[in-house]
Amino acid sequence: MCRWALGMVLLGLVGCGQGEGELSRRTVAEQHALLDAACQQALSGGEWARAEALLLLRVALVESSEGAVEEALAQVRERRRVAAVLAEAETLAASGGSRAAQALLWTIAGVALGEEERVRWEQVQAQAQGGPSVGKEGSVFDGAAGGI
Amino acid sequence: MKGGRRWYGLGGHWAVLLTWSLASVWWGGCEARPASPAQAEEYLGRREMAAALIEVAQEARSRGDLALVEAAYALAVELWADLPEAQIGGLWRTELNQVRRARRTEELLTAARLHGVALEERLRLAERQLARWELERYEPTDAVVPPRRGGWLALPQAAGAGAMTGVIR
Repeated sequence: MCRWALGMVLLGLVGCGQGEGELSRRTVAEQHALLDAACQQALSGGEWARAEALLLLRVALVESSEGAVEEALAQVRERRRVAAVLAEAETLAASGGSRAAQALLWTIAGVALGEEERVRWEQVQAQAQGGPSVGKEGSVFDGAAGGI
Repeated sequence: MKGGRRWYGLGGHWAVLLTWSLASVWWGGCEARPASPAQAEEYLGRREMAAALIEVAQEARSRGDLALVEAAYALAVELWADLPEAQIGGLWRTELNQVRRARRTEELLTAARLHGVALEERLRLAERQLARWELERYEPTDAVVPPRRGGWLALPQAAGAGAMTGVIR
């Protein structure tokens, strides 16, 4: 009986804890401040999709387009594009498509890259330069043997 | 041992009472609704924010931006976990699971497509290399290249003229 009661107590504690969200029991102003903080955290952590969702939520709530928010949205979308291009280029380079990877890297040639993006760019570049080419004797078949 | 038995004997009623009171508190907490105007305002504010975020998710879905859809539903589930839509089996959580599966499928398809692009490129390079080897085999580089005019053109013309005259005869 005692164990049963203890089990019910624990169940009650779990039940009380499960329904709490980050924004529950806060005033509207506090909720807005928390959303801004979450957005800053997402931006600094490189979670671009999350940051874009939060910025769009802010635009929807304020119902007016502020210049700073629009600029932040444009930057976040650019970063998402760069991340997508780098991911595709990495996959291509890993599969042996060095020229296609190089062509993808060209599409972000004019974009200012962050530190992490630059490291990824250099890695893809190095992998693509070491890939198969007509000029090198036998390199086409050396590369193809593993992939195909 | 005896004390333990005494505890069990005495605790039976207390345990039932304690369980009953805890279950009542829990049930009451789950069923609670905002009572005061401040609580009602806070509840409506949260509802309004959540609705705006779901609208963002639906717009992103119409554009085919699955990453944004996933981020929006994940945020909704995270930020308003007390709302019924965010509970297990709720609408947002179900949508989140579906969009995660869709994104995973999309990633696999993209990886397969890129692998195909890479294979095509390597195949093209291999064909070009083979063509080069064939050329090197049949046209040795140390062979004397005949002059473009005169030798090249004179020989077929002469042969053709001979053949023609042969046919006429």
